[in-house]
Amino acid sequence: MRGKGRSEVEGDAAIRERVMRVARDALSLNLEAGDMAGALRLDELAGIDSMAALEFLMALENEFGIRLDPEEIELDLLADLPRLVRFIGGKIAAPDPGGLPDSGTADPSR
Amino acid sequence: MTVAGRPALAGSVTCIHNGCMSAEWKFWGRDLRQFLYRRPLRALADRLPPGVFLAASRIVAPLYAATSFRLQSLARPNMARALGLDPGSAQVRALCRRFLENNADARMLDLVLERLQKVGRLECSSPTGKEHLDAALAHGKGVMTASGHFFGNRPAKRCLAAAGYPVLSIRDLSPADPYQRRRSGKEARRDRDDILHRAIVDEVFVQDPDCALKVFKRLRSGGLVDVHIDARGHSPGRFLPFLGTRRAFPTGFLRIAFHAGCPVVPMLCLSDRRGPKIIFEAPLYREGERDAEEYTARMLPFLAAVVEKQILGHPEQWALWAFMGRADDAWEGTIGSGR
Repeated sequence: MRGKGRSEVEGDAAIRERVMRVARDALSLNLEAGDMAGALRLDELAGIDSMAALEFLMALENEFGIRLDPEEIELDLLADLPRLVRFIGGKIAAPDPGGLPDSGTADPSR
Repeated sequence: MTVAGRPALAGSVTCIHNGCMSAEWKFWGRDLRQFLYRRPLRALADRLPPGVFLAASRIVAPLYAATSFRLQSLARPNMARALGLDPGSAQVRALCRRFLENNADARMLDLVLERLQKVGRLECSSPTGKEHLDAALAHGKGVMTASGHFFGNRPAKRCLAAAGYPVLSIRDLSPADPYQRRRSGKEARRDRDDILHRAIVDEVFVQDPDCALKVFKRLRSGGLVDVHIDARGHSPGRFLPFLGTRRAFPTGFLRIAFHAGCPVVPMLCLSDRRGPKIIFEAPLYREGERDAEEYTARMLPFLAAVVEKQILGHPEQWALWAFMGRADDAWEGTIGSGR
């Protein structure tokens, strides 16, 4: 049990590192990794406007190859880093069959 | 800077020299009109049968059109420039009168729209081009309808919702002009927002920190979102030729559409005393654009041209004739020279 617990913690750490990297890129945060190390909420690090939150969501979906259901999309989930990391970990562990990010709708007549 | 001990007097003198007193008189005139709308007319609308209220309120439209000097002075130059006419010409005067009458009618309808629909008195005809909307919805990625600020929008959305096509509207709560920063203007705005909320119901505000996420959620769940592309931009806008001038258009909505992968369907909602007339055009799909910038660069000029054509086809039905200049000024101040 202890080994499994440690593995989960390491998994969470890896996910968190990727989440922070995505946040830095998608939100154009001018912060070093060390500045973000202990952060619990993204909105403590930078103001997140409405469009930035969406860009961050899209970047997360691309990074982790996941797709959030409409009812799962909420600003507080994106801002609460521990919760977001747990959420993504759960999504990766139990992938949705249709869970790849959208590639867009092309003109059906073409 | 104030003069010690006499700030109010110093302020008043400055105000008189700057012409503020005349502005105050104009504000008092608006206060009176707003009071009449918010109190006696609204009280009547709540008590009379909606059909009776609308019939009786027809007397308001010509009175409103004849006495709205401020709106006339703002709207006529914009109309003249867009249509290539003289601002003092009979055509522009007649158009301005019809625009103001439609504006008054729309405001009266807002007061009773909810009740009118409840008692089955809102006549909803089948939309023209409904097959376009159905084809777009069939993709399951939601649909963004792109429209302008036309007087028929609110009753049209009520009709669409009743027909099984609920549409999420996006509204802006920021003050449209200096009047709405005054106490009386704020009260008028608050009441107007309440009236509009009762008329629209299904809405999200650009001021919401999760506005884009709410719009995206609706699209991802396969729903409909309407965007007025002639609205003031809060996200960085893009300047395009429009009605004889250059206007900054918002771009955020197209970024959302790109990410949702949804088609965009141009929509026109015209107002008629018998009920709204809704016209859908063919859906616009993504064409392999690599990113939202590329997508926006292709779509925005096209959609702006579509709305411009709609306005020129039905100029008396467009609601922003009196607000073009101010909106441009605000955008210039916000986003600089544009891009």
